[in-house]
Amino acid sequence: MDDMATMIGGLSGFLDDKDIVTDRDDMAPFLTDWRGIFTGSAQAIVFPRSTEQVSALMAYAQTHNINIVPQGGNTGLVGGAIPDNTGSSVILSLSRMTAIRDFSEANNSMTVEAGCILQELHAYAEERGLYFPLNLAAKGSCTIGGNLATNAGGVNVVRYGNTRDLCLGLEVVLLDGRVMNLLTPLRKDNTGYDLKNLFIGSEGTLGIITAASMKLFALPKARSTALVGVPDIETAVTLLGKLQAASGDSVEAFELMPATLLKVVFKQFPDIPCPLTPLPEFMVLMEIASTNARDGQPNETGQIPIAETMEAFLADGFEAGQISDATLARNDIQRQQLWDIREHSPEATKRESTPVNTDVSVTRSQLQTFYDLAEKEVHKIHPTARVCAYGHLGDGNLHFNLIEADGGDPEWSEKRGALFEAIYWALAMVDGSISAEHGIGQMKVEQLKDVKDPVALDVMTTIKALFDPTGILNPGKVITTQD
Amino acid sequence: MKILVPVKRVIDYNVKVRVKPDQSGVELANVKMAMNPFDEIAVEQALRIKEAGQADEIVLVSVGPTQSQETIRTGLAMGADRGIHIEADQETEPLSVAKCLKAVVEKEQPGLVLCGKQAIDDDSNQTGQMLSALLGWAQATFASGVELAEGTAAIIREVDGGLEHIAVKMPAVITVDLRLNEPRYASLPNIMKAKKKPIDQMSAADLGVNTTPRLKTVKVEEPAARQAGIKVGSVSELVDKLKNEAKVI
Repeated sequence: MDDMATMIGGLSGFLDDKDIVTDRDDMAPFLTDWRGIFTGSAQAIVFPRSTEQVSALMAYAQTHNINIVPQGGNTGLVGGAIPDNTGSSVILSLSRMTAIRDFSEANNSMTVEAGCILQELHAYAEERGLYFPLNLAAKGSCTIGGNLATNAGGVNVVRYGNTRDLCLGLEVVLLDGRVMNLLTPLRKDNTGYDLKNLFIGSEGTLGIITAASMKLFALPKARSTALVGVPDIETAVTLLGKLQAASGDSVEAFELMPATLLKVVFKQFPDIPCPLTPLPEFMVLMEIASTNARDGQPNETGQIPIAETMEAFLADGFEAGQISDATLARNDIQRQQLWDIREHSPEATKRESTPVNTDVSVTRSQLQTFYDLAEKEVHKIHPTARVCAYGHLGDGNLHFNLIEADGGDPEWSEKRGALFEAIYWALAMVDGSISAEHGIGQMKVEQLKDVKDPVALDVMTTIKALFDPTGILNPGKVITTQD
Repeated sequence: MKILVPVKRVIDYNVKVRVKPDQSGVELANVKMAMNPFDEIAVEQALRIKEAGQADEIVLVSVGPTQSQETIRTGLAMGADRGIHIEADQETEPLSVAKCLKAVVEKEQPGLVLCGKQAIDDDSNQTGQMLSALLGWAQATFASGVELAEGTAAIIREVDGGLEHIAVKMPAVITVDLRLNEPRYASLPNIMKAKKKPIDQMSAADLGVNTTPRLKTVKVEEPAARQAGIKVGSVSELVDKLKNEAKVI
């Protein structure tokens, strides 16, 4: 690699000075993930404003053999956007590519640049009467480019699918600077290999996503949100099927939360009111939505149709003994308060302890088996660990997380490794995935080698070598190229 | 003792209100509606008084269109006992609502009327005061603390510079403020029970009240849009702009 001064000099050839950051303090927020687990170092952070600039940067990086670490909103959970500690990398932040290139009501699609903030896309679509359903807790900071690069999931996957399912086309800059234009908003396009899906979820290891064409939907106009107490996970899974059938398949969210978690949330955020007393052992935050505004307005008997659907479903479950208690949000404030519980869960567990965090995926039919097995193994190793497993039950995606005993635990840090192993052992027993929606990043590279099919790993290595023969695109993430 | 709680159907607090193109009012078609938040606090306080054994029945009353029944049903799901719906299709004004409530009070003979201090749609803050004057009852407004005793109520009011403690004679009209309590969530059994609780129907005319509006809305306008901020390059540019453009220093 060239010396640093020469390299920075080279960058300023095609970027504005204010789009290159080299000051140590200014770089700091980009070098640590929000959970504070991963910290790296970099020579510079560059903020290109156009595809042309990204293209020039990439060609330059290839010529001068500079490691490129792409970054969106830096809200990832597996260190995928954080460089290593060698200080040899340049972070390529897409956060200043924020144009919305096209918005089509007729096609129900929008073409947006990678740095658009998810929440701003929600607002943009909503102002125009349409709905972009990708929704996760980091929506205020995460970017669509990052969502695509990690194939992010979130709370609406049960109805609309994950980011991959919402993407129609991509614009990708390859390492040699060529711009691959797959940016079609076509719904159908069977013209050879589906290259866009190679890049979605590739975590910046194959190329740089600079823009995307995304699907839009009719805007939900009426909602009914309930927090429901259930005896166990198996019953919750049964209830999901029933609610989908009762609501015309309009279940937007179905989030499992145990009482252990809610107690932590209320302790750390005392302003959030407790909606059910006493707290049932397991709760599900469920939401149904309708795009027909009339479903949210009282009919001639004074009943709101969508609330009636939810109430009838809850009453059936109550009488069948599948629901122990429940509450319905009667206005948007209460709806927000119910969602606050779920959305504050990661932060609450982080304040309470250094959690053992996982992001596992199992079939819905195996959720209960996995939960019981994992809980038993965990308590065998460390009886005082608190299981705070929450997540997207509708997708079979659990964040089976553990926190230390109330009041602190001197043994916690030494037990963590064994606790992770216990959870992953239980996961292997039910053929689950070690990463449902967070990705591999730098956190799970070694683990992936152990669990992924060897042929699949071999093909992945071949693909990586094709797009990045010298291993400078987000090195050390997803798969390692040497050894 | 019986407690009467008037509840109003208003646009949900979280909804972004839009003005009609002809500026005659705000858009209500297909807009999400909810119980006025201050009225929820009044319902909650009534429930707490009943749970403390100081009241035996809570009656909700709403003056408004047919859909107001849904608002009453919401309060019944929180735990109130029964409802009275006074049908009024025109926009209701504080005086006519107060007159309807007076007629209901005379019929029901409650020992206490607990209402929200104001409705968040028209922000009139008049109905409770007018009702107490029409009834010749004591009034306590903006209550952030309510303690009932034999024949009196001790009220805490948030005023500039501190808390004012007053005592009023019962029966009284008490209007409640935001910090009095946190309204509860309705439990599933209560939501199911609420469907079977009675709501009496009547019209304002049945009560001998003329609801023809006395006030005329001339025009409704959106607030002026805020201008976007700008970034300045230096302190001297900032000072220059504050001096010469904003003219604040």
